[in-house]
Amino acid sequence: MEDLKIIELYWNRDEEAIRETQNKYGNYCYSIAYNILYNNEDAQEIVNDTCKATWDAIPPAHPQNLSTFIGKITRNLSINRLRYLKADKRGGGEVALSFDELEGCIADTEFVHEDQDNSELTESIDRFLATLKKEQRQMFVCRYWYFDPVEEIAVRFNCSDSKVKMSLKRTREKLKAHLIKEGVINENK
Amino acid sequence: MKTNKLIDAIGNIDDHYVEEAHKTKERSRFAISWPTVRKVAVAFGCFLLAVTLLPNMFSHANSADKSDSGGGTYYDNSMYYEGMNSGTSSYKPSYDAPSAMVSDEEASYMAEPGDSSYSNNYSNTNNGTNSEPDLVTSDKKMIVSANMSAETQDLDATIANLTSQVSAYEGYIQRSSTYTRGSTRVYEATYRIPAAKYQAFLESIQDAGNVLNYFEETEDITNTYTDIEARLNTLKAQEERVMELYKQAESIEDLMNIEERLSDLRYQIEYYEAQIRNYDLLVAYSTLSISVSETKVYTPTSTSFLTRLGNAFRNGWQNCLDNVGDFLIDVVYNIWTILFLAVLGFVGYRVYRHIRNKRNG
Repeated sequence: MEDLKIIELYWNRDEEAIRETQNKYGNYCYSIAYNILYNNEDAQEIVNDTCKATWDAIPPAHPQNLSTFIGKITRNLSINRLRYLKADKRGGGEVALSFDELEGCIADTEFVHEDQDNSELTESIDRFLATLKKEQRQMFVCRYWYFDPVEEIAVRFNCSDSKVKMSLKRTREKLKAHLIKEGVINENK
Repeated sequence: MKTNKLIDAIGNIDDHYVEEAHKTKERSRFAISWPTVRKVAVAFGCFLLAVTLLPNMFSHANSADKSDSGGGTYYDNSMYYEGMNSGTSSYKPSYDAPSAMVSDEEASYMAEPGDSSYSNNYSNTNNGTNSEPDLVTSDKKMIVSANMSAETQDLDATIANLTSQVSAYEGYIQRSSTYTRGSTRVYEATYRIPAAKYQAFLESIQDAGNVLNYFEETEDITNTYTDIEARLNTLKAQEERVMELYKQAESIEDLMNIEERLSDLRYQIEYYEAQIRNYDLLVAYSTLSISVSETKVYTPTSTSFLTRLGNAFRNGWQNCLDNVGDFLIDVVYNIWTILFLAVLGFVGYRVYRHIRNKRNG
């Protein structure tokens, strides 16, 4: 079924929308959740929660891209679940490595406005991503949005693991420089 | 805390970027993994190399085994003759026996088995006296046939030397051929040498190369030959008597019966005379089947383990060089195919890169 029809079912409050979403995006959501949680049952539970959250979000939301909309919900739910489970004591898994990589990137910095809304930071990152080459941007998003393993990204881009790692490292450094330049973060003195 | 904020912010980036990254996942299902392709190509290259080199290695090892299989004894020319004189050599079958030799043996087996005695010349004729019986003039009828395998560093000179010696001893070449086995040139021939001059001929070719293997067989056909001679004499006597009866015959019926009998007798006489001629030829000329291969380094002639080990190491290096040389020749031989495939692969790769870059924008 096409995304527009599924969204229409949501708007009509037809429970068929949930079944269609499960059928079409179940695996997609599961892969995102599993990348973050590294647990089959938790990932399955997140997929179910995603359907419920989507049911609650539409309406009033009217997403232009249903897959990304659902993916974002899955990602947020998975990260919240991870935080709840680990209470910030992160264990293994790709998300932990990704966290460490990003932590290293902004370790010696601080946000200019700690209570600042996330949307400003997101907009800055959007502008930063627009400056990147397509391949670099795709690698960055695969790694820090989908939390894909480096090896998997390397296969997808037909290159070696070390090339992916190097590309990600340079992108993180550029991100840091960009955020400093835009006044989002300051370097600790 | 800072990281969580950053992670959350990344989670809310523009849908377009998320969608763009998601497309790479779908594409990856059909993507060729070049690192894997490289590994497969390297493995295939190693396989080809092994397939090219190993048969040569094994063929060399086998030939070494064959040389060594007769009790581990190696012969140089002096040892070879010394061995013959002292009677210390043992039976060693020749692996390189040409087919012509087999046919000669088959011819000699026409004699009844009970009448033939096979013996190794090393143990039969040599007791330190080196006395050679005159196979033609004595009453004994002996057929001598031998196999020899040798190696030389200059095959053309060896062939010329052997051919001239055959002519000098009034022998003739029954069969000869030169061919290449792997990267080794081989000369194979069957010589027929007058039996009386055979030993002298052998001594004259002792410098032909490094003799690896020599086997001589003497077949005593005296009994068979005598039997055939006796039958032939009897048949001839009968023929004479029948001829006398033929002269005395008075009726046509008698004449026809006698002629029929005479025809039978003459058929048998011709058959036995042919056998006698064949045996005379085999006895008069000894047969030597020789196989000479060209080599850069002679096969070791010492039985000392350390010497053999050293020689094996040295010869192994030479063998390695030969194999590499063979491999290079194979590569050059297939150069156009390789170039064609390389160009095809390169063009394919460039097209693939072009399509991929176009898809990635």
